[in-house]
Parts: sequence; structure tokens; C-alpha cells
Amino acid sequence: MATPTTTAADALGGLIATDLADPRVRWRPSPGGMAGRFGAFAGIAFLALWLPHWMTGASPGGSLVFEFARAIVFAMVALSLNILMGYAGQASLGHAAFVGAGAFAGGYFSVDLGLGFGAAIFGSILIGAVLALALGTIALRVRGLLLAIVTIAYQLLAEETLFKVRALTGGGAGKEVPRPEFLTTGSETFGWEFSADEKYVYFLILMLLLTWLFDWRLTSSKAGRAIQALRDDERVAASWGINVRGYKLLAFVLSGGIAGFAGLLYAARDGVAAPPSFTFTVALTFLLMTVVGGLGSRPGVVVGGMFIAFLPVFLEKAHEAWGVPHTDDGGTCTSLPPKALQFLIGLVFLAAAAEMIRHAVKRFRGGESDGARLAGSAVLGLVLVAVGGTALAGSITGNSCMWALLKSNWETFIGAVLLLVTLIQYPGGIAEQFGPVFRWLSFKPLKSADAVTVGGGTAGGGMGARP
Amino acid sequence: MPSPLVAGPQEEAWVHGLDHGGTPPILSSDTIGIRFGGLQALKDVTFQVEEHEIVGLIGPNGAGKTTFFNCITGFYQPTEGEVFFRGERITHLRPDQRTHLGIGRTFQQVGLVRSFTVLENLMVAQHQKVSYGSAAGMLGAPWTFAEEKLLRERAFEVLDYLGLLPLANEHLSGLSYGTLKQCEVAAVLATDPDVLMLDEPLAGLGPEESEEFGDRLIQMRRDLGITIVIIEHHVPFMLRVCDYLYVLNFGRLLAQGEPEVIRVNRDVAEAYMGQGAATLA
Amino acid sequence: MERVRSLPLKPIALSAAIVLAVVLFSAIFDISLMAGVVNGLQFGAVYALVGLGIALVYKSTKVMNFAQGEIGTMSAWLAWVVMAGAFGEVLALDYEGLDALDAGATGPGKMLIATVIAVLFGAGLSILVNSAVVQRVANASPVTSLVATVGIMLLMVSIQLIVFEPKLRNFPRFIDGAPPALDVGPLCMGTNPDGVCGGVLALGGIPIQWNTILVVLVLAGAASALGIFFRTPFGVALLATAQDPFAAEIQGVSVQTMGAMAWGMAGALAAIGGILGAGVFEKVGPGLMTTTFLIPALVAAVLGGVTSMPGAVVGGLILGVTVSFANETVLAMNLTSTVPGPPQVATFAVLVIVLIFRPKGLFGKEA
Repeated sequence: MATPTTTAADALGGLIATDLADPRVRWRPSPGGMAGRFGAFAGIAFLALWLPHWMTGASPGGSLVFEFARAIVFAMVALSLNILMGYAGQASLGHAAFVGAGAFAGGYFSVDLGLGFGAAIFGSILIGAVLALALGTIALRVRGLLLAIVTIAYQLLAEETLFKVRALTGGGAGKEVPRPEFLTTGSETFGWEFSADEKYVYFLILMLLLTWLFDWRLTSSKAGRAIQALRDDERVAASWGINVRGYKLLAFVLSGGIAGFAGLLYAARDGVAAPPSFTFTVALTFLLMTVVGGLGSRPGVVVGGMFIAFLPVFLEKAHEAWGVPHTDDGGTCTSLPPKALQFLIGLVFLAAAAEMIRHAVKRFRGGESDGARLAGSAVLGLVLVAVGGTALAGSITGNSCMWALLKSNWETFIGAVLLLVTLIQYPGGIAEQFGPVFRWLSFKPLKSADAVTVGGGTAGGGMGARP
Repeated sequence: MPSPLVAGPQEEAWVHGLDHGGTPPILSSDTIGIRFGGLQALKDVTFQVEEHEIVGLIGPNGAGKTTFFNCITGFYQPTEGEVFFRGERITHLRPDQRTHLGIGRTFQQVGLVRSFTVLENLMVAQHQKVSYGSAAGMLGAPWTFAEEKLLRERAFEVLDYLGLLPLANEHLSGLSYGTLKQCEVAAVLATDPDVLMLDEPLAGLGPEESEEFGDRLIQMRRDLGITIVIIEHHVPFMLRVCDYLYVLNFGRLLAQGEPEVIRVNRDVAEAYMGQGAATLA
Repeated sequence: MERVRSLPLKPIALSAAIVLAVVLFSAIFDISLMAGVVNGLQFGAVYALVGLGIALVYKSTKVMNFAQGEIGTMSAWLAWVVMAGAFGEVLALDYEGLDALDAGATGPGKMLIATVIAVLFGAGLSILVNSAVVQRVANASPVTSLVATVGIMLLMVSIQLIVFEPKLRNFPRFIDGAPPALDVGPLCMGTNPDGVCGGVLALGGIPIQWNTILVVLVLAGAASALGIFFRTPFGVALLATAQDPFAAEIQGVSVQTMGAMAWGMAGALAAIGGILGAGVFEKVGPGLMTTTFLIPALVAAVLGGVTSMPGAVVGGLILGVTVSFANETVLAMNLTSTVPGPPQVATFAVLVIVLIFRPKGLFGKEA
């Protein structure tokens, strides 16, 4: 066992004079390291408080705040899906069913039964959990692939049957899901004005925080450990006294409950829960954002969720800002930043294409004879060249402006590409790429060899992410 | 908790299978048989283990030793016969329920949670010893923090006992096969078993390490008062360490007896080394 | 060892009992059993075609290909572009130009050419998907492969949405209408509009369209072709590779080539399924095959046993008829308002029943 030597990374993370050779001693950052981390958290907290307010001013009608709310809800859904896929290792391609069920249940409890928002919270969690329990019981009769198919099947079933029952979901118009009283109007504190949407976002941030804390306690206690253990090896878990079936069902229940809660919060944002928000496509988006975020990692899936939620917003804004001809000069590719940006993007694509083709040629020269695979790489390379070349040429001549094409239609495309790239090339997703940052923020040393990683929080686990 | 070691094998004149003060054997099976489709993998296997004994299960490859372990520990359901723990019938119990009774086992491929560190593995392994409920853990009830600290300390104790303490925070992917097998033994010990069932624990260990492990097993029996059942191929090791041996061949019991008796048993020698062999080692 | 083959009494008795119960049920509640069967055959045949492709890929490479439907839709779109002459508009993303074109009135000759091109494209696309994506994630868990194919499905649907917009466009059938009634002495299979034997071919008064006959015939043809293929040396090599890739490599069989062959055939099947599937509705739209046919095809494959290709065919037909029958039942008993989406309910019910009572399916070998 080599004692790790001090490096620049350690200096940043900091080490006080503790006996490194004794693993019983918990690693503590240096005073500098501590200060740095607290400073970072203070910064994040400040951002969380200031952003919604800034967004109201920056966008007409506060639409950005609205989208921010959606992003936070997506992050909660990602956390819930992470419990099932990241910790328990059970594929779930039908999570929108639980989210939707929670939304409709929330509406039912608060409006139909007239019990208010508190009851709605309770109802949404309960229904989400019960539905997940029922479906989990069926799904767990089979393993792996067939289980994934069952999750798809129940999603479609919910979509086509449950969510279409007029009494439950109000048909096409949707079901009313009102916010709690205090979040429907603006208010004034300390001389600042807060709109209703802003207050709602603060509320959501608080809920996200609570969910995060719950997840943290889960993974730091016996239930979370048991769930992760059975993901890796069921027999071993059983031999250590873990009731495998019971804990798998628990994972379903927890996941479904949180998803239901997120569904309520999502619906309350709009004030209505509509079936089109909970379709199979949406379920796939949830899957995508969790995998791209990094299965098994709390910060990873939260970032992944928020990123995917904001993606269509980015695209739409880019389209509006640069793709639609304006009468003044702040419009299409005639203006400098978009032209330059398009040029850069074209370069990146061409570089990727060159790398891919070069790699394929090297493999070919190195004796690889798998024709199909080489052909595949070659075709992909050519596609990249085509796209990159078009973008490049268009930016120079100013004739073809890619921003004009960008509409939120592209979000599925980009999402799918990200998913594939994550699975093929970067299995740990965002969590793996930003691993050091997340580790540092978790008060752990940058070198994972020294870290006690009880409870996860780093990339790893999940569907074969770690070899 | 295993009963304290009052008297037992190798302490005084010990005869396997004799009724010791009316207590049933800690672990026993009665005419266990199991069929996979057309293949009868085990037939008529009756065995007993007295408390504090070290019992060995040997036999050529494919004899059905691991299959038998799986029947005892609940991973397979035998088609015939029963399994008993302290005289109680446990044939219908799931593996995790049998662990709660006090049966722990290792696996042929290393039985550990791959994505955890060594320490984390030992924390999970103590699952059944945790005094707080799952719900309390998830909600962060104050008493869970103290319990978690206790679990950590116990984990370190077990690691220290096996000399694995420096490896506590290592991820499994960087460790050698032999080390992993040792970690696996640590994990099973953390479940606080009364009976420790080891499936080929010497795999990946060299001759000196095997010697050490054998000494350690005998030490463990003394310190912890546990009963040990081992499957191994390393015959000299088994002859040295075990108090009693069962020999399986083609799914049936070929012979049973004390090591010296087995060593000179002609049938056993022939099963291992072919026609004409006279002794086992 | 002598194996005595006896009649499988239990399954036969069970099937007979089910059929009898269904017939009685239809008689009592006045449900048109014939409508269920005739309509169900058309859908069931397409389910079977897609399911056959899924079973083929799963059996050969142990991958559940969720993109099987979309490879079919992409091929159908290519056929549409060929038939409508829309190459220019597609490359330029000329949405208005695209809307002005219509492939609905294409003649069978041109359609045949377009189909051939589409089938070749489907095979090629499938091989590309395998080599570019699936092979790369082959080492991870099977669920990762499934999610990768889901990603490919999403990618394909998104490309279709970008190029063709979320609209339905007309798609032709090979042969429209229905054949004339069959008058064979005492047996008269026709719609008999004037009380005399005549009109179009029908069974119990339900017209049998040319398209239905075509789809069933194509299914039979494809199934037979595959059956023959798996008795040839190539086919045997493919099965051997699927069972034990390592042994196959030692024998000199290239696992990569075998995999490519399996995916290629499945891609061709997907293309045929896509074109016929679009023909059923006479419309093509982004994501068509996945939304309408993939899940039933998966359930059909599970019903038949995911490792069994004949199972997928049988499963598809049974599921098609079951779904259609469920539709008829709901209509006849006026339950439309209480039971929304009878096809989905029926499909899920079949899946649940299979998983509870016989997870390995009718002909499958693994549980």
C-alpha cells in the first residue's frame, strides 16, 4: 500500500497532518480547502436565490423562471429515476407513468376531495408509490431485458388507459392542480418584489433540497447500501441477509413516490396536469437525462436533468436571436458572434470527422478486417464531414444559416446523440466528466483512492459503468 | 451468536456424530437429492456438522460440492431431502433467512459488491446486525448516526483481525484475486455467522498463504467459536485442518470419516487419482 | 437414448378450451368473431414480421433491438421519397415543396422498385447500427444494449421529425380493394350485397382485402425463407455462433460477419414490415412503426418465446387476433367509455398473463 504523495491537487484539496496510512481516520480538508468549499456552496446558494429574480427581469413575462421551475422538477425526477436505475440497477423506461399518476392524484386530492395542497403532496407520493409497487411486483417476475419491456408496456398502458379516463384526468383538457395559496400571488419582502412564479421556484428548490437530503440519508444507511448491493450481485446480497425481493420493491416504491411528488410539482407549475406531458416520449427523455447525467451520482443526474430541461430553451433562444431575420442588425448570420460560432462548430465537426477517419484508417492498416465496423466508422465520418462542411461554408458565405434551422425539434436529436455518446464513449456520463469537481464539493479528496465513498455520490455503479 | 467454546474437536476425545448431551448437530442434511432436468446432480447426501467442528467436503471436479452448498444455503431447492439447523427444518427458507439464523457462505467466484470499497462491503455485510429500521435510516433519525459509527468500527475490527486493515478504502478493481478472497471471508465474518461455509477459499493463494489461512481458520474457530465447513481441492490442507471429512463423487457420498481414515481409503484415492492408487496423500 | 414423441396433450386441450370459450362468448354477447379474426390477421401479420426481426436479432446476438421498428420507418420514408420524387426537397429541407408532393397514387411497378431500394437500405442501415453502436456497448449489460437501441430509435425519430415534420403523408398500397367473391358450389365466401352470392371476397360477411392477403403471404414467405436459410451452412453457422461465439471463432467462423448478416436480414425484414405497415393505414409519419407496431411486436416475441422465430410468428398472429377481438368486444358491449384503448389493455393483459404463467413463452427455451 503506497502512501499517496502530495500533489497540487492535494494542495488544493488540502491535507492536515493526519496519519495517511491509517484508514480509520476520516480524511479532512485543510482549512484552506474547507474555506474554499464553503465559499463554493455560498456561491451556489447565492445563485439559487438570485437567479429566479434575475430571470424575471431578463425575460418577458418571466418565461425563463417558468422554464427554471421545469428544470428543477426534472432534476427531482432524475433523482427518483436514479434510485431505480442507478442504485437498484433496474431499467425503467416507463417512469412518466409514475410522474403522471402523482400529478393527477395531487389534483384529485386537492380539488376533488377539497383537501388542499398538503393533502395533494401526501396523495401524489402515496399514489406514485402504490403504482410503482404494483407494477414493480409484475416487473420483478422477470429479469433484465424482459423487465425493461414490462416497464415500457406499463407506461403505454398508463398513457392509453389510466390517463384517458375522464373521471381521473379530465380528458384532453387536463385536470386542475392548483398551487398552494401563498404561491399564487406575488409578495414583497425586505423591499424586494417577488412574483408568484419566483416564489414557486424557491419552493421547488427547497423541495429538491429535501429530496437530495433524503437520497443522501438513503445511501448512507442500510437500505441504500442493500439496494446497491443487490444491483451488483443478488446472490451475495442474499447471503449477507438482504431480502432481495423486498429491497427491489422498496427501490420501486421510493422511486415511484418521489416521481409522483415531482409530478404534482410539475402540474402545479402550470396549474393543470395534462396527459400529453406524461407520454412514452417523455419517459424516454427522463431515461436519457439520467443516463447522460451519470447513473448512481446525485449531482450528475441533477445536472443532467436540468441540462436536458433547458436544452429546448437554449435552442429556441438561439433560433430567435440568430436565426430569424430582424430588420435591424441584431439578426441572422450577418452578425459576428453567430457567424463565428457557426464557423467554430463546423471546425469541431470536421475535426471529429478527421479523427474518426484517421482512427479507422489506422485500424485498417493495423490489420483489422471487420468490414462492417470500418464501413460504419467511415460512413459516420462522412456524415460528420458533410455537416461540418456545410456549417463552415455557410458561415463564410453567409448564405446558409444553421441557426435558422434550430428549433426545439432538435432537442430530441441532440438528446439522442448525447445518450449514444454517453453509452459508447463516456459511460459515467456527466458525473464521470465532472467527477473531480463533484468529489471536491463533497468534502472528499480529489484522489479517489483516499476517499471513503460510502453512500455513492461519485460516478460508478449502474449499468456497467464501472468495469 | 455462537456458543462459547467449552469443549470441542481437537480439545479432547471427540467422536463425530455421537450425541453430545442431547444437542442436535448445528447443521445437518437428510438424504438431499437434486435433479436438473435429466441430470441427477445429487443423491442421498446425508451429512452432519457438530458445533465448533471444522468439516471438509472434498471430491473430484463436478462431484456436486458447490451444488450441495447451494442446497444447504438455500440457493437451490433440493428435489428430495431436508436441511436442518440446530434440529429445525430450514429447507423452505430463503438464503437471506438462513443467514439470519447464522449460516454464512462464500462463493466460488468472489462474492463481493464490485462497485464498493472493501470497507463499504463490510458495512453492507453487517446488514442484519443493524439495529435501526430502514425507514429510520432513510429519514436520518438521530440514533442512526451513532449506529453507523458503530458499524464502521466493527468493520475495521474484522478487517484488522484478518490483517486487511490497510486496504479498507481501496476499490475492489485494484486488488488481486487472492486478496479479494480474503476480503470475502472478512465480509462473511462481518455477518456474525455461527456456521461459516467456505467454497474453495484457497483459490488464488500460494503455498505459504494457504498454510497461513489454515492456521487462521483454526484460530478463528478458537477465538470466535464458530463452526466451519470447507470445500477444497487442496487435499493435504484438508487432511491437516479438518476434524471430519465427507467425500462426494458423482453426486453421491463416497466416504466419510476422520482425515486419517479418508487418507487411506482406497475408493477415495481411486476416485481422485485413478485405478491402482492406494492412498490419497 | 430413445425419445418417444407423444402428442402434447395439455397444450392442445388448453388451446381447444380457449377457442371454445371464445366462440361461446362471442355467440352470447353478439360479438363479430369473424371481424376480429379478419382484421386481426392484417395487424397480426405486421406484428409477426417485426417480431420475427426482433427474435432473429435476439437469438443471433442476444441484443433486444428496440430500433427494429424505426429501421422499418426509415426504409418506408426512403420508399416514399423515391415514389414522390422528393430527393431535392429533402436535401434542401424545403418544407413547402415537400408538402406539395404526394406518393399516394403510385403504381405497383414504381412501388416495387421503391420497395427493393428500401429493403437494401434497411439492411444496410441495420448493419450500420450494429457496427457503429451496438458492437461498442456489447460488453456491458444487456440492458445497456437495449438502452443504446432506444437511443438509436430516438435518433431516427428525431431525424424524421426534422426532415419530414410531424405530419402524416399518404402512402400507397400494392393492391387496393378486395378480390371478388369466391363461389365454389355450396360454399360462398362473399359479401353478398344482393342476397345472391357476389360482391367481394368475405368471411362471415367481413370483406378480406387484398392487402390483408398480401401481408399474410409475405409473412409466410419471409418465415419460410428464414426457415430454409437456417438449414443452410450459413444459417447453421449463425446459430452456432449465437450459442457459443468462442467455439465458432475457433472453427474459423467470423463472429462479426455472422452478426452483420443477422442484423442485415433483420433490417430487410424491418423494411418490408415498414412498407406493409404504412400500407395498412395508407399513411406514413415519423415514428410510425414504433408507436403502432413495436410494443405489440415485442409482446408477440415474448408470447412466442424471445428465442424462437416461429414463436414470434405465431405470437404475432395470436396477438393480432386477440387485440382485434378485444376491440370488437368493447364495441359490442358498449364499453368504449369505461375501457379506453382496448388494444393497449389487451396487449398488456397478454404480456402480464404470459409473464405470470409461462415467462419463457410458447416455444421459448429460456425463462
